[in-house]
Amino acid sequence: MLVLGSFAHADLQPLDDAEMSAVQGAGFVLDGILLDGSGATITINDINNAAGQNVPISVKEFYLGAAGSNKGANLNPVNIGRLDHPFEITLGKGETLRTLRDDGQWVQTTPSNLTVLEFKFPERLTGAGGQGCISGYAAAGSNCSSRAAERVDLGIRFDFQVAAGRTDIINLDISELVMDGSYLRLWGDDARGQLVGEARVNIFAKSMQLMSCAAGTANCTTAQEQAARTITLSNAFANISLGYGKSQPLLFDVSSNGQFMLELPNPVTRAANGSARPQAERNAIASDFYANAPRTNIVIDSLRAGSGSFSTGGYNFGYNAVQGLSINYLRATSRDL
Amino acid sequence: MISKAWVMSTVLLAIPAFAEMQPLDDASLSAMNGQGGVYLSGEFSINKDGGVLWSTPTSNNPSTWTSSQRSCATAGASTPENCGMRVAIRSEADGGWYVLDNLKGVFSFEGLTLRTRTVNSGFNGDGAGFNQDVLEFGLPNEVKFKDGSFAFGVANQGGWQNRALSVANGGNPSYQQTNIFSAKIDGTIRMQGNVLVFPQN
Repeated sequence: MLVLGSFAHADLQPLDDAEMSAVQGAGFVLDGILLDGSGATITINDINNAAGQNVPISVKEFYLGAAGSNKGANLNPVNIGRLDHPFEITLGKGETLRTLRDDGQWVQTTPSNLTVLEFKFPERLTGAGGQGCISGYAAAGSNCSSRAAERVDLGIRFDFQVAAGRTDIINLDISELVMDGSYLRLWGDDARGQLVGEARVNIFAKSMQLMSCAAGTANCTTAQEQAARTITLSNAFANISLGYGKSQPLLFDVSSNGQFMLELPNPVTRAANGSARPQAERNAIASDFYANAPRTNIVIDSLRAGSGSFSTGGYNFGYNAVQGLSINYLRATSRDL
Repeated sequence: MISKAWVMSTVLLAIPAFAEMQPLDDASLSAMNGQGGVYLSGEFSINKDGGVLWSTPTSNNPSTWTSSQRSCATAGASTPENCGMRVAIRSEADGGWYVLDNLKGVFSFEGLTLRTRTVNSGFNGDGAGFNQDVLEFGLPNEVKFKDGSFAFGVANQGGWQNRALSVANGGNPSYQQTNIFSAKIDGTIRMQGNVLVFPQN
């Protein structure tokens, strides 16, 4: 009532062109966030076994909090995203969006003259202000914008009720997780008549632990028993790149007979409308693709199964890496069994 | 929660506004920000007892349903179940549909807040340089779910059709829907913190 009653005498000022064009989207910062799903029962269904029976998956011990939570035992709120490097939802022009190439150059990957809807995690920083993406592990790079206090611990446990009396468990705990530089970009492709996009998923973690038993149950109580049933990935990071908008957009289709299809088309063979391309054009597209398309890297500095010591039944697989992977063609479809 | 809201609104209505209203000048107007806010508590119930499109049959066998019946029980369940809301989206001119199906349940929260806030300090040193107003969504401490469920799948038609019935009986044998997964949520999820939103260029 009060609001309606008071008259606003201040003059409304029109925004000039510079001010209008300056506002393109919204930034988000999560301030003091803590999620804890331990009080809820979440069940995932519709995943069937070979006999067509539902295998219910219970989601337990889901948490997200500040780093140093000791696998969720000591949850504290955390800030995610920085005021000057927040999460963003923007409508941008294809020619202004940039992607960080592995050699530290910013390149355009989206086609020009298009409006692109972008969901973006906190940006990566080249030069001043860049933070080590994994503390104490320089090989993960130092171009993250999130600082040590802005990283999270995240955990989730899946209980697969495989059969009566048998439950298989996967318990995942990630510490000091940061996903800077991840994004999803979507736009409409005229010639294909469909929604296309490109995605980048960056995951940097100090450690990821996959345990195959529920803490506190038989043979899963002491630290030694738990370690024996754990796969530990230390100093692990992945840069997963799906799609290169200029010549190989990511197509997420549902086919007209109702099946899900994920496709990365061959960048050179056909134009989007299906017509063949001349040799010179194919060469030009291929050189651009090999020079600029973001690559996929998966690096695990130390991979250990069990305690890592052979004498106690564990094994240390050491350093494992897939680097510079480029996907030339991918097509995955669902099929009804 | 409802009674609290009632008391609040009654109090607001009961205070007679005797003070004469003064227009605010430009200076006072521009000095005002972040002085108010909204505190929301609520309970939503979506299709808890089934929707308007389908009634619940007595068995889980689709060939026994009439053209207006559908059960959304999971595979192998013994009793039929109501179906929730359905949203279908097609992202390709001649393609199939993404389906968010069987969305139903009771969802309640206490204390979702919405206000503006000036951020000019804190945030590990970032606040002072930022010095800007933000919109603050304060998450409720606890969100309660009761029989919440949804399914995500893909289909060749936007609307659901019974493939076990002939076209003459109101079905469509060529209808194809594949559920990728479905989820059920019961209980309380703790959600603490604020989401700050601000324009970005």
